[in-house]
Amino acid sequence: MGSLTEVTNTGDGFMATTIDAVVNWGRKNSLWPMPLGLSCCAIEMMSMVGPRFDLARFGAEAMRFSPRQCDLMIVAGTLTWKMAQAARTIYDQMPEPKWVIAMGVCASSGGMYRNYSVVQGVDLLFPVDMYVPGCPPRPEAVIDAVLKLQKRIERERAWSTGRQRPMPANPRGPILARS
Amino acid sequence: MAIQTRSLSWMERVYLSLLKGLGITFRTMFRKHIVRKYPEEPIPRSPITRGQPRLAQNEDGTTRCVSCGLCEFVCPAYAITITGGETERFIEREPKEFQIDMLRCILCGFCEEVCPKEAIFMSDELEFAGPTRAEHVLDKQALLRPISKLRQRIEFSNSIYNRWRRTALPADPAKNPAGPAAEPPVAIGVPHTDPTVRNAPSQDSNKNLPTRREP
Repeated sequence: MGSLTEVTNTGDGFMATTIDAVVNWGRKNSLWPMPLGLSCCAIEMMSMVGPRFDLARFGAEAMRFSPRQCDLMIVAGTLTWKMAQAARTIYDQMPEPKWVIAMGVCASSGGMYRNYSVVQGVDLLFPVDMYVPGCPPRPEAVIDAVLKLQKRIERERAWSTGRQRPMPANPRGPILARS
Repeated sequence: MAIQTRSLSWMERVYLSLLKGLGITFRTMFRKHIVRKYPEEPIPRSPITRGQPRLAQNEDGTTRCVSCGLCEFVCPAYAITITGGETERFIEREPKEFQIDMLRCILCGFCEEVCPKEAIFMSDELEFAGPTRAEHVLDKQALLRPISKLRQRIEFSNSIYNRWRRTALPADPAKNPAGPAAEPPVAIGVPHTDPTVRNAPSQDSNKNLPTRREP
């Protein structure tokens, strides 16, 4: 990682925390979302980046549809098993550091659809940083989720000890009858 | 076929017509904005807004829910889980555990519509993002709300659901320890004044029901 981390062993020194602060400030204020718009929540996501509820006020202006250029994936809608491989590929193609917001109940937990075709929560496929309840969540509720994610990014150890991402223990995750 | 060309004006040739476009930009920049500045400006709410469901709590702290299980049965997403329990009050039943998984709840309002005790209402709470799935499973303690906070929604839901309720519920069941049977039933079915509903029912909605023809 460079000589700066070798100087401070624990990563709590002045240099490391200052670099953490600057790097996190830059990362949180320029989250470029990758909209994985799958169904109805995509409409609310579109209205969120529209002029009335403006997501660009918080830096998340550049909605690129190529995962190679994004750092925040907003899974908006119902993920089916047929689409699951594509969603996982898109997640893998995003370069680190990356964050995921599961927007709506279908993405967070399968929602209303407890059946064989809907993935019961996208955290069965990749780690999720923010769950937003609602069907669909109001655009302001998703903006609230982005703001809370920004607060979490502020507290990360970006440079000093590497980002700690909680991966699900079992990639298939627990599937409960009543989650 | 001749292609129609137009000779450029002197402004366009000198590229000063850029100013025309810039004029539009500056005019739009100083026009009134329609952006709702969200965290500072709260979400606009009306009585129609269906937020997350909450259990009504009377002024004396008791729950109205009798754990009949109708909301659990009607929930399309199976988000509600109820374990019934006994109580010394007149109603004899109250929920020992009442759990709603908000990451399953689709905010449809069926639970509010079906509840026979006016115990569950869609509040106006809408913003709940969180980093774990477990924090969105709300138990009974987290779901209770005093009815003073739910007043607007209670009035609105009564105005639409009273069309098919034969008698009004007592305003506060705790005030009548002898139970609802002691009070004279109040016939309702007063047409609500919602202008978007055509053919609002007449005063006595039972009068117009078709009668069975004798065989």
